[in-house]
Amino acid sequence: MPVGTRTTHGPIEYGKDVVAWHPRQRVLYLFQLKAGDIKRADWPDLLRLAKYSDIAKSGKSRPEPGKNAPVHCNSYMRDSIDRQLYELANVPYSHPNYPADAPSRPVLVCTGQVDPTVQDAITKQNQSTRGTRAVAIWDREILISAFRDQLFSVQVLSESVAVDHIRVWSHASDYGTDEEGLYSFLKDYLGLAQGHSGRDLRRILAGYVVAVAQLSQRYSSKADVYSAVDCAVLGMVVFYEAIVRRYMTSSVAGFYCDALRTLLAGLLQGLHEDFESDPTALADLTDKHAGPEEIFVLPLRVHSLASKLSLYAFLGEYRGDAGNSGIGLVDRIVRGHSSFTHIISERQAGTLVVTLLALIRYGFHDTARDALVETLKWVVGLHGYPGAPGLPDPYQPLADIPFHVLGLRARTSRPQTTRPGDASYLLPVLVRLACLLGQRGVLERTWPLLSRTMAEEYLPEAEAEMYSRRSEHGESHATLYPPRQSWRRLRRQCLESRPANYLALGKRYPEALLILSLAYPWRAPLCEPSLYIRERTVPSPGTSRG
Amino acid sequence: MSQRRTEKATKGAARPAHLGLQHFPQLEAACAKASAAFLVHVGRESDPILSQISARPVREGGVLVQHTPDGTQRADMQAVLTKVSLSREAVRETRIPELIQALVQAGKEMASQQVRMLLDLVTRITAQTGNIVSGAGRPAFEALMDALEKVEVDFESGRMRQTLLMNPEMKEQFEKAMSEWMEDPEKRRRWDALMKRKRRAYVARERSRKLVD
Repeated sequence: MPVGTRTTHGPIEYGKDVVAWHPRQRVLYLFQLKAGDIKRADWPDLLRLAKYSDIAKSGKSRPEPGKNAPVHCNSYMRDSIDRQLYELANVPYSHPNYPADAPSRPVLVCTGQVDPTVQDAITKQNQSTRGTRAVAIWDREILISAFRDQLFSVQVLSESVAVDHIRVWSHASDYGTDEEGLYSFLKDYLGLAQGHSGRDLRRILAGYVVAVAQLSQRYSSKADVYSAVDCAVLGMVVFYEAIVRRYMTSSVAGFYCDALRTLLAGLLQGLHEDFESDPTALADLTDKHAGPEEIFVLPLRVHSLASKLSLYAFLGEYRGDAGNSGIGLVDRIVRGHSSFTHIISERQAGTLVVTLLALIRYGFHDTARDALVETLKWVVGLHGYPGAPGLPDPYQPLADIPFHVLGLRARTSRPQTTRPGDASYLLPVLVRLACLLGQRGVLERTWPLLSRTMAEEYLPEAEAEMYSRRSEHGESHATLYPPRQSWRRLRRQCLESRPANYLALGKRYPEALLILSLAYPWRAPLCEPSLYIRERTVPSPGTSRG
Repeated sequence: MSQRRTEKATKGAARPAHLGLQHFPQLEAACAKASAAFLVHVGRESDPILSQISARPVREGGVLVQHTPDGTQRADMQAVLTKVSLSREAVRETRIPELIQALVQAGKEMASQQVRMLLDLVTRITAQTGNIVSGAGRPAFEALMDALEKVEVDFESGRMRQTLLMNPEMKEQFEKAMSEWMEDPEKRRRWDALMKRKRRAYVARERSRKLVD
């Protein structure tokens, strides 16, 4: 229904449940609403009339409705749909605010299906008795189509954010370019929920869900399902922050969280189905038309796809599926692309963690172990010695990667965001996973370099800081591993679970920490593996030296 | 990077549309910028001529017109093109050292082009201004003295600030000859006299920097 339509509903309906004035068409829409299917059995009288209509056309006399028809039929018709339709089409609607001679369009709205026989009967009635005031049928199929078409172009937001919504929607390019703007918009939008309750709160939250859906759809319509997924992921993590900041009760949050999860799962399902229909497309994810810049793009592309399909597997399990949808594809991607282990930015921490956790959870333990070992060797090789290049930290934008790799750090416009290769946010994550998988051997081999690297980590004060994009609260830790370390002690430290106050939301919404890691990769170290790895999939406290 | 495609729409064209590849336009644009900066850096670092010439960006226009008290010189903008090739395997294996090697090679090639263009420009300008001194059939010392007579010479901390371009072999010969000339009293006297004259001219030029009338 277009914006600006005015509706009225009253006791004297004359077959009209809703009357709507279309300001641009200058037409009154007269709606008769019916829930569910309209079957042939629901409408014997109209069918009978249709039969009379046939008789009339054949030259025989046609009975007046309710006059010559059988009594039981008259009685039925008083309350039947047909009576309402008759009034809908023939009793004019008058209102002082609208022109008396305004054209009207009667519509039978049915949320189910209309039996073809009934459709046929209404068609014949339109032809024989109602002339220009023909009754149209809007059944489920038409309604779904109309809603789908209108959903992504109609503003359902409050005025205070509508302009910003239009701006981010119309300027949509790709997620990487738009990320800051999208975040600001979504954050501001949910900020409106503060201090509201009841119907107002639900209206804001519903608008938020629609806004996220519209923005994601915007990317889908530009054939960029990856950005669509990333946008939905961002929409979810901003919603999580609103939950932990208690903008809403958990009972209210659940409904809208489900809606967002369904949206994300739908987008991921499309991606999964595309690649499942042609798994050979996964064999080589390089862009054959690209230039040397592909060396920077390919690792990100491989990570992004693997993590999205991994997330799809998790979401499938959480909604009751077998729980391994798409994980075979993830295995193919990781095994088929050495660039998966060749990290070029610590911004890949989130995609790495989500992918490895999925592989471990769904039984691809060897793939996860091999990938982890190779990644650890690769990352350690960039740290811990004089002049080591290190990696751009996870807070640095993607655009900094080539400047960092080419040693142009001093020449970038943001020298303050760079650092030498003696510190890492990613290495502690890799060490933790290596301990979890019992990979003592690779840690032994890499310890001389690893122990020269400063392990950086942010520890939030509370869950609210954890789900925020950046926080001024909490503590940033920089830890130098001891030159001589005990494997048992290291393992014990690494396998300690995070404080319970970090994990409350993650236990209620199991996908929350995965979503958080993907949206804000610098939070990946806080993704608690014990929430995602089943006990039986973890090797015994191992001393694998392989 | 010369192999970059210009139209984003063609990306992933070899694959079915529904299996399109993810792209990172910000990163790809940054790669182009970083590569260009790296090529310039390599060029200036690797070439002794370019490393001594101050560079400044020209933001607009297709011709650079330079006005000096000696006259006006026009120089057309000229494109310096190079090709960076990287094997598909290097991309798949993230072999960064190979990328850097390819960029260094391309940077040197660019620098060599720039120097050739620079020398062509200098030759053309000197021909126009009549400042060409031919050394053919003449003693090198005489040619050098004639050349220095014709140009403005600047001094910095008491030392002549002048660049002579020559290949490395000739440089060795020149340095050896110069030390021999300085041991020759007559040549030394003429050299010192020239330098004295040039220094006076430099000082006078610098002292005259004022707005009058």
